[in-house]
Amino acid sequence: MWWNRKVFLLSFFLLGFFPSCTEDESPPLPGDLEHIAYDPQPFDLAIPEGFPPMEIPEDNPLTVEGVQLGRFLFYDPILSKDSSMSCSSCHLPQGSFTDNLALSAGVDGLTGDRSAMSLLNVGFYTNGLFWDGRSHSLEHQALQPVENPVELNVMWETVEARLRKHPDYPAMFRKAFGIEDSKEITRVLAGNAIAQFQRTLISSGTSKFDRKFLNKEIGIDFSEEEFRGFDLFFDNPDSPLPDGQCFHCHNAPLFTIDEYFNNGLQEAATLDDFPDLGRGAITGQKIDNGKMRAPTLRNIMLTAPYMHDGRFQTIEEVLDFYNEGLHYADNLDENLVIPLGLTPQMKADIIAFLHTLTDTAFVNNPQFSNPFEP
Amino acid sequence: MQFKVFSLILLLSVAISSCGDKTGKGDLAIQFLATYDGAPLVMLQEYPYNDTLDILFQKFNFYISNLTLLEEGSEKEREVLEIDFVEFDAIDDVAKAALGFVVLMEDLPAHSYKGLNLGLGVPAGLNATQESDYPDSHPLGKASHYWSGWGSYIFTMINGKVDSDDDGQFDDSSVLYHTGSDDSYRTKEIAHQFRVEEGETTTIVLEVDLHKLFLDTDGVHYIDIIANPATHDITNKTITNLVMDNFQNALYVVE
Ligand code: HEC
Ligand code: HEC
Repeated sequence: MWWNRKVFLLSFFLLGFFPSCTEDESPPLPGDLEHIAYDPQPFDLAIPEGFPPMEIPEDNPLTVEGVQLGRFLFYDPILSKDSSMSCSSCHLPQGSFTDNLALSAGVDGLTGDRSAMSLLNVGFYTNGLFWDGRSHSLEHQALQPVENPVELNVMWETVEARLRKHPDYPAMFRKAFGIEDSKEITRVLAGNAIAQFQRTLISSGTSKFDRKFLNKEIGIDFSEEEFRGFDLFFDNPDSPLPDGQCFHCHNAPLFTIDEYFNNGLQEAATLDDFPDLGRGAITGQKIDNGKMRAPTLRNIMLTAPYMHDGRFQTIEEVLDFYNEGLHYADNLDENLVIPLGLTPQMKADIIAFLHTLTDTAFVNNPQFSNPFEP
Repeated sequence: MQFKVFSLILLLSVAISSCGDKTGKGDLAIQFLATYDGAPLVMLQEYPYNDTLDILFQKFNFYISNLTLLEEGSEKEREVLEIDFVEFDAIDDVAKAALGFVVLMEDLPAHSYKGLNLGLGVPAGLNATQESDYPDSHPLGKASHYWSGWGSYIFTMINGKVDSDDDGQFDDSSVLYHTGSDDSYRTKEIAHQFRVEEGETTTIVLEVDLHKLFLDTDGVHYIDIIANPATHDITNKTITNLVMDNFQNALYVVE
């Protein structure tokens, strides 16, 4: 049966193909970009020791030219309704690509109901993007903010027209994707370029934690506090300290296991009553209601306020919450049912450990900065 | 234009080659079903654990490995799968439970077989690798299933919550039974006559009764899960090994 279908499709394809070949009498005009050389260079990703390989879609390989184009688009307000905002308005390098706001306002001053997420290591995630995982790839994701009314709020047709008329972008699209004419600039190519740039947003491998445990450098000393925090965080079986449970959901090396949990944040009488259904709204499964994707804790000291709605201003509030503020629901994660019983010292220890995940070389990396600024 | 011609050739060659490759070959599906005392296992549903406790489950998943088929009429074993991950975590109703979790092996030689051999857990060679050796989507790339404290993958993960005061809230205790490390790796040989037919998918149904994984050493009572809520202590593998022994016995083919 499948074979018949294929033959059918094939003949359909053939029929469609040949006439278009013969009937097309006037030779096409040369594209306005054909004079520009197309010679894309593969981009070598610097993946730190101890990190997993990154899966890159075959139809969007990383090139130097593609990444460069993506970086310009990421920082360019041409992607917004009134040319006032870009991706970088809500994803700033110094905040590890968050905006350090509980909720961010878009071009029209409207706020969404979720907090901007860090883009650090975003290229490693394969289990859905956004807090609820509703986007399946960076290519797909990059198209969303543009038309979103609480974000950039402009039709892609408008952006495409702007890019085609732009003095520089047509040549950049040519160099990145080999298009022959500026008319071939599309949202898909723009999204591909932005996705390429975002895949380069990788840890530098020089946080204190990485130097000590992943690079295994000699002479990197953890303080007693940091070590105790490590033991609590990872439930080190050799340590008498209690289990802080964190690693179950925020495991190394990415400090997220890229899955969805109810970590007890939202109060709900039944599984139907979560103010934000999160993952459940996407899967339609009640057991997923109130679940969010566990975010990375790398650079967590740079990304306050915390949680999907930015409800906690400080990391201390987060630890107090995990220790004594959880809300029960049938799908509350089983690792968090028994009170953690952390003392004030233990909470401080975990926080000291979280500080070792700070990666200033990442936020200061000149390759990730705004290319429009000198 | 160039591209169109190219994709046409590609399409043709795919169509032809995939057709040619399939002669003498068929697919084998292993459908895993999870039950609890014979009833379909549904996440977040309440089940009696023993006379005093109720339990609900939030995760039940495990690695299978080194799956070999035993050929009829010879001593030949054919390895058809190195490693895969079976999970019931998203099963939230009886209809989904009836479908279970299917592992599909394609393009196996059409042949008669008298049984299969299955590893429960991650065999030593692979267990010496770690999750950062694999991309996120690989079965062994799950950061949730590698425990560096143990230097091992988590072979089976059984997570649940307990209601011991009968107030309907499963907040009195948790069950976190994670097995791992090389000495808790088990294999299971299952005698079962089947045939992989050319161009067809043969299905074998394997059922595992989760309650049986909690049987105590006497084989009658169930492990005291209040006293032993977790298997996190690497130095004490009594429960991990018991659970894996139980797993061997609790997995059977549905004829
Ligand atoms: C108005 C602020 C705003 C703007 C502008 C914005 N974002 Fe975001 N971004 C957010 C918020 C809020 C979320 C989380 C949304 C959610 O989960 O529903 C997010 C999430 C993301 C994520 C998901 C990260 C993850 O780990 O899942 C990516 C990737 C991302 N944004 C990239 C971009 C790109 C690329 C642009 C420009 C095309 C952009 N953002 C523009 C606010 C913004
Ligand atoms: C059961 C899984 C789970 C456990 C265990 C867990 N977390 Fe989380 N964590 C999450 C999820 C899910 C979120 C996002 C929740 C939301 O915003 O609704 C989160 C959010 C956070 C945030 C905010 C991140 C941000 O970008 O806003 C911090 C900080 C955090 N967790 C720290 C910890 C620490 C420290 C521990 C151990 C004491 C811990 N977590 C244990 C799942 C978990």
